[in-house]
Amino acid sequence: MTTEKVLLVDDEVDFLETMAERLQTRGMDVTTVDKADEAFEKIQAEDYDAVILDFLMPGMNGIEALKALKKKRPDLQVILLTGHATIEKSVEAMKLGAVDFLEKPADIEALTEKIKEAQTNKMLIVEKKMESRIKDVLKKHGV
Amino acid sequence: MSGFRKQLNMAGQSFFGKMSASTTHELKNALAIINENAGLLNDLSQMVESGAELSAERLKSITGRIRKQVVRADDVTTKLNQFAHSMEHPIEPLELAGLVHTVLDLGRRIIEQRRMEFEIETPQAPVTVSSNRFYLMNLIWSCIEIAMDSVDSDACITIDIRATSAGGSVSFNRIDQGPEPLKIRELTDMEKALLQGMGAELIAAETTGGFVLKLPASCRYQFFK
Repeated sequence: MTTEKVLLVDDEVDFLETMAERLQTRGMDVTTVDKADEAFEKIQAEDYDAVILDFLMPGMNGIEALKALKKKRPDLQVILLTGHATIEKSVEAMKLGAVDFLEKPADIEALTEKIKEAQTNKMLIVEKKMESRIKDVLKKHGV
Repeated sequence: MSGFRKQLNMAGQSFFGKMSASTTHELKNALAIINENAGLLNDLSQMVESGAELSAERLKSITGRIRKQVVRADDVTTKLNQFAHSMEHPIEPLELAGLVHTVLDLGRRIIEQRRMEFEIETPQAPVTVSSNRFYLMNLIWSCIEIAMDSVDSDACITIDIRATSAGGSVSFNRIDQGPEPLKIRELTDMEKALLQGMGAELIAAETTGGFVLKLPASCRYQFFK
């Protein structure tokens, strides 16, 4: 299994630093940003196995951000973290394609498990895409 | 229950909900950081058991982060506790600048989420009116929301508190160079009930721009009757 590449997005810098360190000690490659705009730039430039996104950040509605992220990168595996969870919002987020919706303070082992699941999902999506491309190429050449 | 009383109750419940959500969200964030730092200490202790070295500086940095969040959570809890006690007296003397500070602190998360900034022009001498603490805080919060509703995000708004011949005034104005001036949008029935209950007026400030909340020296409405 390759190292999980994670983008951590939260406006609480102390939270970012500590969570990043803990995930790194679990063998993950972690990038942190404390502004929603920077998260959009990062996902355009880099490929991540999972994005851990704070649901409520200054100037950002979590649902709108999730929609925008999924529009830019439909395969993106987003795990929402929030200090403000409601069942209604979590259902909405899951319908929009969030992998999971975890409440702060989150359990690191549960989060690690979710990240690993996200990476597996991502690999399956990539594999399916590759398979489809190979089939197209073979079809083109009459094989 | 009269329509006015019903609107006033609804305004109070809505305000209580918003302030509770804002403050508990802050508490959750502080607890999340404490939780992660406690977890980090646990991770490090396991590494030490496996033979890794751990410096005193590293430990100090982690405990420093925990202490910082304990101070933050304690501050939020103190304000939430003061807020919970704001229903105790129907009418009491209230110092306006302090009250505005408290409301801004309670609603900090909502204000930050809308990317707004508020600055208070503190008067040289304290301005005091006699009113109901909870509903006056509610009315001040409504004015803050009206100000935020009239501009896009990233606006800087000043709150100027003054004594007047009739009591006190709280003025809201935009101090940054943004394109939209502050204006009063159409008031909701709850906001109208709050103004009526407090015997207050909300008027556009023609010369300086923005708007002004005018408060009587003594509120005559019988709260909690």
